[in-house]
Amino acid sequence: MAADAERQEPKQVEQESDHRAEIVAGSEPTDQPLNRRARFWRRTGSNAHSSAVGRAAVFPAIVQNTRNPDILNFSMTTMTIQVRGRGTLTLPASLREKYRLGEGDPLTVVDLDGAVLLSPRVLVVPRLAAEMERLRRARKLSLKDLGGPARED
Amino acid sequence: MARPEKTEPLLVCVDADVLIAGLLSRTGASHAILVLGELGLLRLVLPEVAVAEVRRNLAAKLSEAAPLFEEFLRAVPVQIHRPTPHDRERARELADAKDVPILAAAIGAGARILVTHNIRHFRSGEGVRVVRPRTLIEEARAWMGSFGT
Repeated sequence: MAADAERQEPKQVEQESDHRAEIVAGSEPTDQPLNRRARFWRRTGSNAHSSAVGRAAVFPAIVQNTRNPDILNFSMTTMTIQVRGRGTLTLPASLREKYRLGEGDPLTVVDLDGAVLLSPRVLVVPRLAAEMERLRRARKLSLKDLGGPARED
Repeated sequence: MARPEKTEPLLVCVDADVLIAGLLSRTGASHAILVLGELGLLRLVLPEVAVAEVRRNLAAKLSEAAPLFEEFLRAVPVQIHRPTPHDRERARELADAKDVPILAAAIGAGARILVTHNIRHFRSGEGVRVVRPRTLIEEARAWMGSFGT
């Protein structure tokens, strides 16, 4: 049935889920700002780069989207960290403590093609979508066949 | 240093075609919106009629995927909204007749954005901006990309 097919009224109203997710909202400033680790920056970066990274360090702020005031609704902390050998990242201790992360704990990486998010949660949506997409392709159904768009954005 | 003020995530109403595209394909903006919803960066409002439409379509053509959609509804923080007659009245002039319940749900839930592939079926108003999935993701990406600059 197409998406623009006549919509029908269901009989039941479902309740809001109890599950709530938060990420990097209202976080405290880290207790280990990267600009205190002078030896690390001297050892691993160029002068210009390490200086810039050191200055950036950690700056809690209420971030506003100047392009679109609809999207401004988070307070958050941003941090600058550096990729090391073989792609290793070190999360500041304050974040490890806040999210109770230990060695071996999984993180989810979300690539928005220009912004990369790290989540301490293992997400359900990618797993479900992978399985549903596999089932759809096995049946040789398009998104449009199922009421979706003719062409995905 | 003062703790930053904590505010609520953006309320985004999701049409049925975005739900279908986001759950049955992993490559598009619709999927990214559902992921951002699960992360809590967006708060997803699902019109009751959109949920019913997805259920109906899956039951008719891909019934083996129906339990996975139910798992999505249980596991991801979503608000399923049934609009009131007053919400419908407010939406009546801003949407094609068959789509009034979708926009009415967005208005009634207080969503500031309705995301749909059928933007021609709606007009922005009553505090709700109607956008395509790609537009929302591009705006979110620009917002996130501005951090640390």
